Amino acid sequence: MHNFSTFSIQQIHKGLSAKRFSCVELVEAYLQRVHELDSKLNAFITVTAEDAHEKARAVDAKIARGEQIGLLEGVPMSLKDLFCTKGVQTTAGSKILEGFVPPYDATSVARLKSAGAVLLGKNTEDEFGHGASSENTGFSVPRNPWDTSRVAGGSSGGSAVAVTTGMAVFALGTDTGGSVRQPAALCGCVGLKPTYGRISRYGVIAMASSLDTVGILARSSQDIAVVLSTIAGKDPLDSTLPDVAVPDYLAVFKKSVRGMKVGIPEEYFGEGLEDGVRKRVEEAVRTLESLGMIVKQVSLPHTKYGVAAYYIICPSEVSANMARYDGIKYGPTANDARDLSEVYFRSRSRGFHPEVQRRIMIGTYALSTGYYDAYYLKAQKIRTLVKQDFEEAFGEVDVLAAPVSPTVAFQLGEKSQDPLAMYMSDVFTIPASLAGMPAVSVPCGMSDGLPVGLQIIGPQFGEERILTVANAFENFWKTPTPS
Amino acid sequence: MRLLRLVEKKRRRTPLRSVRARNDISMPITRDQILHIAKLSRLEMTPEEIERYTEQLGSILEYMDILHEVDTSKVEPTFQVTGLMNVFSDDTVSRKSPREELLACSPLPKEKQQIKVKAVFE
Repeated sequence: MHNFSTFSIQQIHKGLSAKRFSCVELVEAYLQRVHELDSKLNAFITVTAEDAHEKARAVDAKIARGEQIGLLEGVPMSLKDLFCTKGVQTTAGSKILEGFVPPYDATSVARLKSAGAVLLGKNTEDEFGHGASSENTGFSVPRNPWDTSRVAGGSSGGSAVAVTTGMAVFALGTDTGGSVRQPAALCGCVGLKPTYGRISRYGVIAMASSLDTVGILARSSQDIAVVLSTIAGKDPLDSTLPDVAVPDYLAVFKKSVRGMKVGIPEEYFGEGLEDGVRKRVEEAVRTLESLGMIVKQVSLPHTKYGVAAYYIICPSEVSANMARYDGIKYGPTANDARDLSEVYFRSRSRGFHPEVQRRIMIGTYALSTGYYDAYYLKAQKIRTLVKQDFEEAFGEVDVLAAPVSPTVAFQLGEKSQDPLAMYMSDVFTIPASLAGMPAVSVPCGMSDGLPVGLQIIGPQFGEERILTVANAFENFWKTPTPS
Repeated sequence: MRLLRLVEKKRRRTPLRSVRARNDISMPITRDQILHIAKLSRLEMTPEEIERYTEQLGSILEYMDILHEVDTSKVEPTFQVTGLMNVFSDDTVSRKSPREELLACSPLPKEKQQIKVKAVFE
């Protein structure tokens, strides 16, 4: 019996190619895992077992015919329910899209499918990505696999749970202010937020368009590199992608980190950082040093303004993006409305989670006449300063190392009544988002029995650099799996 | 889409004049302002929700005041980080629009390939 739930993409590829196991066996083992664990962990909104079986049989047939298979062929994956999947319900975690079946695939999904990856299902999340605990949803709330009374993080919480517990080999999530990195850190898997504009967002339900990125969750940075190489790069359907060549991200793992400079931003180690998290991250920095990296103190002086700037910019863009949900084009409609106007009001009030409504209102307010300069414009100016902080730092060092989340996974319900406290969960992930820089979260140990994540941030399009460091660190530190 | 646009014409224009511009941005948001914003946002609210959002948005906006510690008089805003401008594509049909499939996404009845909505006026 193979322990498929810890297999890497390379292991799966070799096993399938050598006919040590079949793709049907592999997919069945993963679906069995979903069946056993998910009633407790709530990582999935939709499970696509039938389609997955069919794909697996096709892969097996191909192997039986003696044909070569690609690296991702037959590899079980899951997707945050924000990715449009042709013929499969896509809810964005919100009641306002319940029953919506997109007629097309997101570009990233189409690329993975044509590379042969097998979709197992769609993951739970905060509605439209609005949250840091996956509690803000019209569907079920994912649980932390290390302690089910705690949150999985968010907003890509279900995806982090699925990958960590071996219910999927990898998953796609989205990261607007930390939504891949933070749940990866809280659950104990690897999570990449790439450079803004690295991966097409066509077919990914929008939250905040100047910040949204497609992220990848997996059990190693090698697996992330395989997926990134497959989905990154130009797409005629997304005009926000600069024409930057896609390197072979797998090649980076031959590179050494010796002599690379790692900056430690002092602002990320101040007040509000839990002791246990601080200790693990400081140990991780010493590990990087022992691997031959040169450690340097740096300063990102505008870090403390990140959350405030983000929670103006993000809701402003949210208020525009959420305008399309009207009870007419998709999702449930208010049947008891007397006229069209009431259809809008009722469908939206019933369909949107209170956090979504809160963000729509903050955004509407911040963009309105008389407030635009004081809030929206001011926040975009602060964004310039945050970006400059990074640019200056990257003049001195190759990468930055910092905590991902100020705390380990918190209790369910602990912050759900206090929006501002929830917003603070993103304090260390927001700055890289505002600046459009890539960052990866790597497990770096446990505190009180819960995982801690190390964040490695790089300059724009510096994915190779951060994955090189992440991989070197992973080789040193092996992540335990939850029992 | 054309049908939707016609329908939208009814939408009353509500300038934000009723919400006075304030210089002192530390003043918490008022109940009336929340009512007005909710209306602009097309969100129906119970009195309890109005109270809750007034309090919550007040404390969130109060926190935003921290930004005014920073002098940004000589700083340009960053609206996006790619540096891309005017990305054009050729005006060609690259694929067939799946009209029927898109219409099928709507929960409402269809007539002559249009979505049938409620009356604009009672």
